[in-house]
Amino acid sequence: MRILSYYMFVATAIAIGAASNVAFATDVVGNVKTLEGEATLVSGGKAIPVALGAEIHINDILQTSLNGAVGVTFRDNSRISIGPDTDFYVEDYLFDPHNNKLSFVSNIQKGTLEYVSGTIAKLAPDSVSMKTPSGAIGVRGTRFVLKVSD
Amino acid sequence: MKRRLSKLPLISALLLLSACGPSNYVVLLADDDGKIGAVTVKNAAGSQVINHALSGTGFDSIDRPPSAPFSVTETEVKEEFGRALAVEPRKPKTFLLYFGTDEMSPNDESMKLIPSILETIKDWTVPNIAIVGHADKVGAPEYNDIVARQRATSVHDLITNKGVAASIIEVSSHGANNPLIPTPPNTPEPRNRRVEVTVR
Repeated sequence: MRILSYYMFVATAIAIGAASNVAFATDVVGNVKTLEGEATLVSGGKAIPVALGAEIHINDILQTSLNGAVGVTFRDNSRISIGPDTDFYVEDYLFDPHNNKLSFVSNIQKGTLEYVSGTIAKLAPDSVSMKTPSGAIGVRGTRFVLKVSD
Repeated sequence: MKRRLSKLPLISALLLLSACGPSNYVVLLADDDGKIGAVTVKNAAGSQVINHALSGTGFDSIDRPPSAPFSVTETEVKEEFGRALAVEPRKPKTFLLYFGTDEMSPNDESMKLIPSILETIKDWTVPNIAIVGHADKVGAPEYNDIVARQRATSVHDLITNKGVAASIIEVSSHGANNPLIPTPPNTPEPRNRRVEVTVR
């Protein structure tokens, strides 16, 4: 009886999931929340001006102009904001605590940045790092600023 | 003489980040709650841990180890990082909803939070919403995951019925792996059987 009700429950759950058109998985890692001046998002070889709300994917490059600044909030509530003349992208991002898949690897080639940690750093501190041309930063939380010169 | 000596560290700290300081460096800051974490800078030549607020390390070259920790002032941080700090996104806001045993709708107390959730979404410039189901460590993980997901879905339906666009909502389950209250295995913990709605 218990087993039967379990299977009925699973079937119902699947039916509900299918019926209500819910987004369960996504390849978006974060969204642009703040913007000053001009910035460009290079995604799949195409460069487009950054707009508020823009979706950020793995390997999308965020580039700010000499007067630009952009803030992004990621799916795990990490927040990264970049100052003028900065090149930043996310190399790897996994946020699936149920399956213990957690990773946040980002890369800054030049510029300035502020980082505020989120759930990935809380659950798996060893899986958060930020790469620069002269060294990698391992993040145990919770807030830092970083400058990389050309 | 004594006074002049005591001023020296301050002068060198001020010079550090402008004229003769490192071109690549990280500085640890306290977060909103005053909490201070830690960062480790590592390259081919060595590594350096920084675990004090307003403390930094320079790493100009991959062939040289990161420098010994140095102190910077808040003024220097504002001068160098003011533009990035000014666009720090708003801190995400999380609401906790609870459910009766085997119930798929939030309990009466939690239902009272729905208007505040809707207000917060309206108040956000470009909102995204995460609705995450959580379980405690009792029972089969697969079963817990399904319950958590179904409860999250019911909250999704509650707020989309109030006019929130489904396109800005992500529904998921963290099972028992992201507890509010850490417990040993097989421990019943009602506070962990929850749905978190985060507006970010």
